[in-house]
Amino acid sequence: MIHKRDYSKFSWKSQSPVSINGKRKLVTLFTLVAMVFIFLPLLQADVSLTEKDMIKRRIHHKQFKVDEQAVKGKPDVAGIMATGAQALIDNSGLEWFINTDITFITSSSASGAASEASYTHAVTASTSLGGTTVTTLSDAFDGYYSIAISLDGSVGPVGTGDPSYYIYNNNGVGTTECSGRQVVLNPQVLNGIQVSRKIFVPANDAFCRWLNIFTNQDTLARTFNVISCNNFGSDSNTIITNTSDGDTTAELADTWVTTMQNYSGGTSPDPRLGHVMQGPGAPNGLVNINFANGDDNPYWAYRLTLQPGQTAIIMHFGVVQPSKAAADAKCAQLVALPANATQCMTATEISQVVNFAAGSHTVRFTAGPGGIVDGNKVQLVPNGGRCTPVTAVPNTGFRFIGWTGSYKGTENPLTIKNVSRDMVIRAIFENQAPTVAINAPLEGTTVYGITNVDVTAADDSGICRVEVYVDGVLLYTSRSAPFTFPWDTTAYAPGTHTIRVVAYDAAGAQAFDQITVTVQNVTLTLTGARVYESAWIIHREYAKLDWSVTNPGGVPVSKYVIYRKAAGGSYQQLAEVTGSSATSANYTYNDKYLNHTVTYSYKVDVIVAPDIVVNTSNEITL
Amino acid sequence: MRKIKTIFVLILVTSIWLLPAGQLMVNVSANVLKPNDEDYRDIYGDSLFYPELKLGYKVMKDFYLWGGFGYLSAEGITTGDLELESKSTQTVLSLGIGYNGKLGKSLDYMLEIGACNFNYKEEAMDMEISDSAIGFRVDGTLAYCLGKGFYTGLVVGYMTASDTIKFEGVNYDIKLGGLKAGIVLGIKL
Repeated sequence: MIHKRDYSKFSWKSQSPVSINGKRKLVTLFTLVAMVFIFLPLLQADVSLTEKDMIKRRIHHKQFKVDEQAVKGKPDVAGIMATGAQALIDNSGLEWFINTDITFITSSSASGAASEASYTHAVTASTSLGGTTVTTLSDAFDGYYSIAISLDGSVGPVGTGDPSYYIYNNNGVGTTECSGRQVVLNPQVLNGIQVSRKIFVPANDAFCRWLNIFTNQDTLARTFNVISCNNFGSDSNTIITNTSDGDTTAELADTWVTTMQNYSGGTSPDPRLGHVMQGPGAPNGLVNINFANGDDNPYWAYRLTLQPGQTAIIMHFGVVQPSKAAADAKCAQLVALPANATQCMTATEISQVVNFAAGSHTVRFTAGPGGIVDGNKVQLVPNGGRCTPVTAVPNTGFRFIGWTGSYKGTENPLTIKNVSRDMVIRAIFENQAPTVAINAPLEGTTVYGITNVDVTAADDSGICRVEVYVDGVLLYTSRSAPFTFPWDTTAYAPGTHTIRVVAYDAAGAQAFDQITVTVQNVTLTLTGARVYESAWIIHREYAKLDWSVTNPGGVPVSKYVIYRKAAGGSYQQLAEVTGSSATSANYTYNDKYLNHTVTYSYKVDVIVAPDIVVNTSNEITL
Repeated sequence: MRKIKTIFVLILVTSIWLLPAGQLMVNVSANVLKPNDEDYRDIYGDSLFYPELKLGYKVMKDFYLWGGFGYLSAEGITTGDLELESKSTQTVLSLGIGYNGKLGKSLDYMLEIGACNFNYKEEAMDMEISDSAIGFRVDGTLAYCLGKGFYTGLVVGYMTASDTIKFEGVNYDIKLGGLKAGIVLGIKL
């Protein structure tokens, strides 16, 4: 969660939410201010007290706008020295404030530095006697991890007026990316070297990561040093608590150093700090390191040589923990570059990191169609190390087949061990075919008339369509259930016929079911004539209807229904004639009730109980 | 029609009861009738059984008045493809005058002429149609006296009538009666 604080709403003098701890700081601050005014000429600190005071006011006391008279810097259009900070809280509840839009001259509090990191809640802090106390540790850093470059081989310390250094600062308002977790600061060209910074605070871990991105914009190769500028805020109480090799002396080979503001009365109000500066065997490791007890302005330096257009990244992790041991452990963990350490880094960025994981390899996991890869998809793994597990997760309707590319296998989750080369591993998914079944008619049964072909089809991703073929000829297509198709068997010759149903899912996978049925239809041929029938006096005109029935399968015909319609009218039932299951039969029906001036049409339906029309005769007009 | 039959029967019974002996003559005949109407013959046949009852009353010397009741019933098959059943009935009420002459000791002859009323009906193809028509008739009888007033003999006759009947908007001309011949058994009371 990122919090953009509008400090302009608060007044330094009248509305400061001062805590007991804050009051103590205020007293200290005023004392420092007084001392600075008295001993200003003697101080050699990298940040003037006015600057430090303003940073503290800005961050700790929520004052966003600062007095133009009080700071050195370039006024903005409105004539106000605007500074700001992006607040990011990690999963331990520590709130980091990242400097952005710094418009005054500074070194340790320059653009991208962290200030006043504090817990948002009480934590269990270590004590000098090895115990713990629950308190809200705060006030880490008065300006942490600014950077400067030097092209004359200087390796620090960086001074604001020192011409050997170009401090990355005064580069406007930053933006965010990676769901707001990463502050992106604008590129700034420092003597031909383009510098930009990205500062990331994870929501699922406890650290802050700096990516310092350098691109040589010159036409010649350039060699320069990158020097950090820091003010831990622990003043003369600063002590080195540990280093990666287990001593309290920071050396070039150390990958990390932990420090703290020393205990006073058995406790320390500030968090314990860790500084992860490089990975083991990095191609561009430290060329200088300067940590000393009592000095809260340590610095360290790297040397880079970039070809024209080449980009390199110096990565740094800042650690804030409630105990020394926790700070040590977190530093050690980050040196190994767990998956969380490279979150929100592109594969390109990972490959451009030069101060970590020399000989490491990029393991990239991708997913083919139909699924995703869950986990850290781009991992920087030390040579011989292992990547963190990733899981292939198929989409609905798909299943995981296996891995392909640099690794082939079916493990899921997958952990690549003993990584010795860059790898691109792709998860392959297969669409699961739908299920389809013909429910009716049943296999081998005899059908006649209009027979419903009843189909069930299902698929996790949904059925796209169902097709029905009879003897290989597509008869019906339906795109939605219910999949019931009225098959008119009367158009088919008696004998066996094949019904094949094919179901397609949304991804194009298909499945089919097939049955064979026997068509045994009743065929009825209707003929007729108008006849004149005479007695002595009585004379009548009849429609004499004759039909012949062919019923080779012995379909149990229950009746024949005769329909008649007058010219221009509609068919009305005229009569019913009881049927039989004889294989052949002839029937006659005399329609005695004719109007001899009217033309009539006739047809006969063949009915199977219960009232299923299995065939209809030809139509005749008399 | 029923009234006419009733009146006829009443007159006959009353006459027999009231009139003196030797004045009455009663006979029944069994005849074969050849109908006049060709269409009728096509349906019901060329020769039909026609029984008849006659009653005569001697009015002066050898002349007598007579009345008769005959009944004709036939079943036939329609013409056409369907050959459906049909039925026709006719009743004939006759009234006329006759002459009874002698040809020998036991041989008489009788000549009769009269009017007749034909009540006819036909049922066919789920329909029924009926009407009546008046015509005339002549009969001749050769009788052999059997004794005690009984006699038997041969009778021939001809009766005819015609009518026009409208059926389903069409007029049909029909002929009734025909030539008949038969045997007669009678008694003179």
